[in-house]
Amino acid sequence: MSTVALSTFLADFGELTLDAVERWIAAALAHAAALHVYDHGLYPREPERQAAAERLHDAWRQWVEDAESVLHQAGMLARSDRAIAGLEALRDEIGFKKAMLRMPPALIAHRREQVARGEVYSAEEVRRELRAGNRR
Amino acid sequence: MSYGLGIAGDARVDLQAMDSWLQEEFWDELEQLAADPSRLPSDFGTDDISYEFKRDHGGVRHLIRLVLYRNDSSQMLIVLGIDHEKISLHP
Repeated sequence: MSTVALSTFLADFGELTLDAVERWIAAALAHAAALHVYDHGLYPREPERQAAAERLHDAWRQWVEDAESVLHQAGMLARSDRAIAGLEALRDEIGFKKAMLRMPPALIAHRREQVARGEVYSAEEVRRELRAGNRR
Repeated sequence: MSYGLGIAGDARVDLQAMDSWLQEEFWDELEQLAADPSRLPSDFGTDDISYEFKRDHGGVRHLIRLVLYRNDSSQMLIVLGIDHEKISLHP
């Protein structure tokens, strides 16, 4: 693993070719696939595994940062005649992971405690409440 | 075998932040999961499950991510968290 931020590295070499961008996209998606192997560890119920879960989230945060650098480079080429392989998949993956990063392990642990205390609402109850709110 | 559905206290706030049409999409997706929990990853043991789906609407892609508490003994699926990210389909 490089200690140079990908955004810095890519900026140093100016605009990339289509072939180079597609290679970076493929690499970013492969990195994401490797991180997905640990999905089961994102929200562990045992307190002693929370620190590892936080590190896994940190790894995804770094991935999002790097992947956005690649996306930025791809954006400069997006007006070319040919579609960029993997671009849509990368954009989706970044979006899903940004949503994930807003739900860190500590937040989910807190919600789990709510469940343990019985602070759970039925789907019908919440649906009714939301519909009433939407009509206002 | 279908599961019952529950929403954790603060997860209601997550839902309130979504547009009403997207809330309906969320309920549809959740009901399908509860009706067929085999669609959820099975190798999570006792850990909580992440689940993702997307919807395109008005030139915008909505990427929705849920965290679910699955209790096989009580056959309950409880939503712990919901978040979503919007991306333009015409960047």
